[in-house]
Amino acid sequence: MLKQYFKQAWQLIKQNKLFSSIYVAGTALAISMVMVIAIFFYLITGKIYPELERNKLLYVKVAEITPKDTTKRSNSSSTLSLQTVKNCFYNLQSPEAVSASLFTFKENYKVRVSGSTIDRKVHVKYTDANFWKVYQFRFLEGRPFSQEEFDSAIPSAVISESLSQYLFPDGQATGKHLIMNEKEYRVSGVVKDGSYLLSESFAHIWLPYTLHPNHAETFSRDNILGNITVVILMKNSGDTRTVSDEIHTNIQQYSANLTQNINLLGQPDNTFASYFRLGNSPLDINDILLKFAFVLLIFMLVPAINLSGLNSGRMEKRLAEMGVRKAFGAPNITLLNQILIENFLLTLIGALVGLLISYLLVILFNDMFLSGFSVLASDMDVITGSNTSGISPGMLINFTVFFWALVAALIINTLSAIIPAYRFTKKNITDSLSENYTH
Amino acid sequence: MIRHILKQIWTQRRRNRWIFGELLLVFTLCWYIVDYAFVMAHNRMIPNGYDITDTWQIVYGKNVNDSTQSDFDRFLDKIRRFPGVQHVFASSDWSITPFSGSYNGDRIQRDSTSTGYYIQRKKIGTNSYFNLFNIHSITTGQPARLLLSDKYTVMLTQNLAESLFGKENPIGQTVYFDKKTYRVTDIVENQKRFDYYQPGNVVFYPDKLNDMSSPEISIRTGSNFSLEQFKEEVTSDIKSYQDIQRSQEFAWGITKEVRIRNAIMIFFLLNIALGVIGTFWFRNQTRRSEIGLRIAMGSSHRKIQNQYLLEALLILTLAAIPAIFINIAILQAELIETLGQVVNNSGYITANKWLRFLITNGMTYILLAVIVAFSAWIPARQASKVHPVEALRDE
Repeated sequence: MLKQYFKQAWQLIKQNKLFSSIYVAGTALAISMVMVIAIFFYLITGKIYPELERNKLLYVKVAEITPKDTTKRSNSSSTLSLQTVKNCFYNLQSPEAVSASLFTFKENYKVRVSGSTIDRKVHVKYTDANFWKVYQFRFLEGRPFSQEEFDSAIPSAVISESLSQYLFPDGQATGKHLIMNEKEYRVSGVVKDGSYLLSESFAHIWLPYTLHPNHAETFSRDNILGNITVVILMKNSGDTRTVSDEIHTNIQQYSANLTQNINLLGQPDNTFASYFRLGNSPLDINDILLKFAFVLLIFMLVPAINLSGLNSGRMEKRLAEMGVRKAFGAPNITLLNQILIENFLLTLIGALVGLLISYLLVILFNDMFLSGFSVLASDMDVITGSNTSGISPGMLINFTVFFWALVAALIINTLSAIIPAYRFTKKNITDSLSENYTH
Repeated sequence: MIRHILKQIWTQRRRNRWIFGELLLVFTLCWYIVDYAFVMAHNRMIPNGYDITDTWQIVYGKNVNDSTQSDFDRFLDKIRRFPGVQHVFASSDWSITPFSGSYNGDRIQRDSTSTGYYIQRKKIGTNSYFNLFNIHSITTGQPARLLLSDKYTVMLTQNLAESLFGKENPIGQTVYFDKKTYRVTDIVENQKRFDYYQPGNVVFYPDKLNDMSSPEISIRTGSNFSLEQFKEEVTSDIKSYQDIQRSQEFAWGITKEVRIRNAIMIFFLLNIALGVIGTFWFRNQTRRSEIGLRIAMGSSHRKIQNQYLLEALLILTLAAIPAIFINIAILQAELIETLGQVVNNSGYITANKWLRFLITNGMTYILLAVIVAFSAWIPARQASKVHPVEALRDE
C-alpha cells in the first residue's frame, strides 16, 4: 500500500511540475533558514574537535566586586586575578580538571624562524598545563608543555599543524626553535588544527601563561580582578550543581576576610551560555532561547502558510478524484495518508535542497558564528589570513544536523498539509463530486 | 473596476485567505526590519564630520621612553619623508582616532550648576590631526585649529554648542568639564563615532604631548603613495582606517546584525513571491473558462493582466490595513529601537515617532507592492495567453 502511495505521489509530482517546483522551493526556503540556526546551535554546543567534552565544560570569565561597606557605592568587574583563581578554582575537588587562561586583547604577535626576516601574525593563547586535559587536542608529534615546564616558565610552545608546515616545511618541528616578538621558544609539540569558530580553544601557538609579564597583574581592591578566565572539566555532565556549589563555598571563604563582595553574575556558565555572555551584563538565557524560538517559529510559520495555500488550491482541483474514491468506500484515513505521503515526498526533496542552501550560507558567512565580543572577532584578519578554516565538512555533515533537518521537514510538512487535507476529507461526497464547487 | 475586483476577492475568499494571512504577517515583520534599515540608512547618510579615505594607522609596537625617544623620532622622520605622505600625527591616546575601540567620556556644563550633557573628550596634541582627518571649522570652513598655547581652550561640535548656548554666539563663552573651566575658541562639524550612529557631542582640547609611551601614528597619503613600498621600506604594521572601521563594526556585532536582518528580509520577500505566484497560478487553472470568456467578449490581454495585478495589490492593501494597526500597537509598546541615537533632541526624522512610522510603513507597502505585482504578473501573462476557444471548450 505504501509503495502504491509513493508511486502515485511520484506520478503526481511529475505531472504538476510547476506546482512541485514552487512547493519544493517554498520548503527549501524554510528548511535552509531553520538549518542555519540548527547548525549554529550545533557549532556552539556540539562535540567538535578539539572541544570533545563540551557537555562537561563550565566557564567562569568575569566577576563583579562591590564593597561590603554599603555606604560606599562603587562596583567594578573584569576577568579574574591569578590570586582569585588559586584560592577559588585551582583548589576545586569535585571536577576532573580546572584550567585557567590569560585573556589578552589586541596583542600583536609575529613569528618567524631564526635566519628568516619574513614574519607572520599569529593568534597566541597563554594557558596552563590542564588546558590539554580540558580540551582533547590530537598531538601529531611531540607532547604538551608539562606542569613542571609551566611552573618554571620554560619557553616551551605547542603549535598548530598549519603553522608548523609554514615554519618548518621540511618536516619535524618538535625540538626546533621559533622566534616570536624577538623571543625564542622551543616547540614541544604539534597539534591538529582546530576551528577558529571554537574561540575558547583556538590558537596558532599555545604557551604557558607564566611566560606572560601580566599574568599575575591585578587591578582592583583586594587584588580580586585580573586577566584570567577559567574553564572547568566536570567528571560527569550532571555535576553542574555540585561544582557550582563548591565554587560558591570557596568564594565565600575567600571573600570572608576581604573588604569586597564577589558576585559571579550567575556563572559558572555551560558552553551554550558562555557563548552569549558579554562582559559584565547579566545573562538571561531564557530570554535568548525565547527569541530563538520566536525566530524559528516565524521561519516555519510563514512558509507553512504559503504551502497550506498551495495545498488547499491543489485539493480543490482533486476534489472530484477524492469524491470518487470516497464514493467507492475509501475511508478518510486512507485519503489523509495518501495526501500526507505525497506531501512528504515533496517536503523531503525540499529539505534536501534547503539543507544544501544552508551549507552554502554557513560556509559563506562562517565568521557570523564567532561570538561578537570574542577576542578573535576584533582580529579577523590574523585568524583568517592564515590557511586555517572555520568550517570543516564534519561540522556540517553529521547525524545531529541531518536529524534536525528531518525534524524540521516533518514539522513543516504537518503544518502545511494537515489543515487543508483534513478539511477536504471532511467534505461531503456530493460536494466533492459536484463540478460546481467553488466556495 | 475596483468594486468588481473587491467582489471577486470576496467570492474567492477561501482561496485568498492564505495569501491574505501571509501578507498580514509579513507586512508587520517586514516593517520591523524596514524601520531598522531606514534608521541605519538615514544615519549613514549624515556626514561623519571627518574623512578617512587615504588615511592609515601605523603601530610603532615598541614602548617609547627616554632612551628610545631618538629611535622613535627617527622613525617618525622616515615616515614624514616617505613619498606621498602628506600629514603625520602621533599620540599615545588611542581614543581620539576614528573607529577606535576606546572612548573617553565625560559631562559638560556651562557652569558647575547648569544642565549637563554627555560628551566624548578628545585631547589633541598637534593641529595636523585636523588636516589629516579633514575635520573642518564651521566658522572658517578650513581645517579646524586648536589654540595649543592655552590649555584651557576648547572646540565644540556644532550640536553641542547649540545644546549649550542655543542661539547665542558660543565663541568666547566658557564651559565646565573635568573640574575645570575652558574657553570656547571655535565650533567644528558634528562628529559621528560610527557610520551608523548619529552625531554625538565631542570636545577637542589641547594635549601637553608629554606622553608618547605606546604611540599610534596616523598618516594621510596622496596619489603617489605606494603601500607595498612603504611596507618594505618603513614598516609592515600599517592598516587603513577603512579596514579598522570594518573590523570595528564586525567586533561590535553590527555587521552580524545587518546581515541577519537582510537575510530575514530576503526570506520574507521570497516567501511572498512564491505565495503570490502559487495562488494566482491556481486561479489560472480554475478560472481558465472565465478568462476565455472575457477574451471572447473582447477583453484585451492587457486588461486581463491588469486585473490580476490590481487584484493582487488590493489583497495586499486589505492585508496592510490590519497590519498597520498591529504596527501601531508595536510602536506604542515601545518595542522598536532607534539605532545609535546619542542625543535625544537631535532633530532628525528618526526622533519624530509618527513621521518615521508613516515613512517606514509607506516604504514597507511599496516594497511589498513591487514584489506582489511582479509575482502576480508571471501567472497573469500566462493567463492572458489562453486561447478563448481552448478555454471555452473546458465548459
